[in-house]
Amino acid sequence: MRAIIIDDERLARAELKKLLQDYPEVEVVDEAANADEGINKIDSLQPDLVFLDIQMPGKTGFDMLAELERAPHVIFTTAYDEYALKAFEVNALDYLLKPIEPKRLADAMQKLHVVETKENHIAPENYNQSILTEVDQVFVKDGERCWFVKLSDIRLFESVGNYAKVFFGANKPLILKSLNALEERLDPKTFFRANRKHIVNLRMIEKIEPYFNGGLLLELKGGEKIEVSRRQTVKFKEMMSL
Amino acid sequence: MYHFITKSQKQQLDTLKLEALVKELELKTIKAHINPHFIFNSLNGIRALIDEDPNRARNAITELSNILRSSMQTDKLESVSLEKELNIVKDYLALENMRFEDRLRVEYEIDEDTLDQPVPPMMLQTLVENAIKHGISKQITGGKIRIVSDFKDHYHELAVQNTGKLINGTARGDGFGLPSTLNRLSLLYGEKARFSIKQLTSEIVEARVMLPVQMSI
Repeated sequence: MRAIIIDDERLARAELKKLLQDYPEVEVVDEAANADEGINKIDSLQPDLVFLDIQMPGKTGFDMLAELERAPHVIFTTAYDEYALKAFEVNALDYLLKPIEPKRLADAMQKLHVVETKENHIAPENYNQSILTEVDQVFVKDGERCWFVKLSDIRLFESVGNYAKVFFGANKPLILKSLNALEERLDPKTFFRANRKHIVNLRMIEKIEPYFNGGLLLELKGGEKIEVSRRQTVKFKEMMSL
Repeated sequence: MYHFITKSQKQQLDTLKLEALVKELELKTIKAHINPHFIFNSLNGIRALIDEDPNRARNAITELSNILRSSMQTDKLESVSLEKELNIVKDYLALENMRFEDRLRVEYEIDEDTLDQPVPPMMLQTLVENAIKHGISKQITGGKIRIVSDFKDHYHELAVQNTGKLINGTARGDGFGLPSTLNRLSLLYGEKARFSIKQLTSEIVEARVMLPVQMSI
């Protein structure tokens, strides 16, 4: 498993690397001292795991994650637990308080193995890095709140100017991405452009009804009603009949 | 009538006692403050240094002990000499240097005659902590902290300058450092002390305290 350590303090990175020597399955392939360096290294090295400090100069670890196309597995490392609860809320794999207790690191590694095994089981064989599939997760930050969201949990993307509203669970935060940019990256087998303003998750459709003008009306599991344009209806029917 | 007077005098006395108590309590809570982030990050750094540079690790433990001890002891004191306060600040900055390494540079410009001046304990320390928290730690390439102590216009001037920018040109008073500093100055000196924080140049922020000079007997 390839990992990157992101922390602005060299000694903190050195200490974590030392602790990780007990886990030969984890190979620390690089380190970064701030968020921008971190983004570059994650993009170029595509690590399986990131150890991430939260307070860093320039941007916080949360800000950094929100800029990534696809969120890797993240274990937060922080000195003081004012942020820990937040990291937990956002559904991080785990968080470690510095100085890191070896026992807690062992627990985190255990959690990681469980998740990895589960994922290897469902990951498609011809896994394409440039397309976001259901097993991928994204990091969404809206003001002070943030979440790791599995794409399979997202029901709907709605265009709001240059932003997109992301619907999952009871939440619908805004992300700074256009619907067109999203459409290019999303797996067309799961995500369908219903009209100019909406992309729906096909597995989240509860009901399909005919609509006027030869279009369709989709009702999603969250109760949202989305109109499928006439032109897209043809495409939708083709896909569904396969 | 007499009864009424004694009662109201007693009430006045009680009010005064209460006010004194509140003042004392306020000072206590202010003094007891040390940023937990700093403590745990320092401990983490020391853990790494144990292998890398055992001597530096041992010194760092002494420095951290001094800071923790002084933060507890000062609860009992209304003031300390600048010399003592500076020793704590030096220990504190040595530890921050361990964490930030070449991202933190420190300069002192201390008029030796000011070393005997009494200062509120942990106040300079709080200002330096602020300079790190809001200044140096926000800069990717780090920066410089300059500590100045001098006599100026019948005042004892203490200034902490740091690389950084005030947000919207003003300091945010929502943290712990600034309100507590202002609070303490007015509790201890009333109108006789002054405090200011401003953007000195485009790159430097300065926090400055003017204290009444204490004549030595």
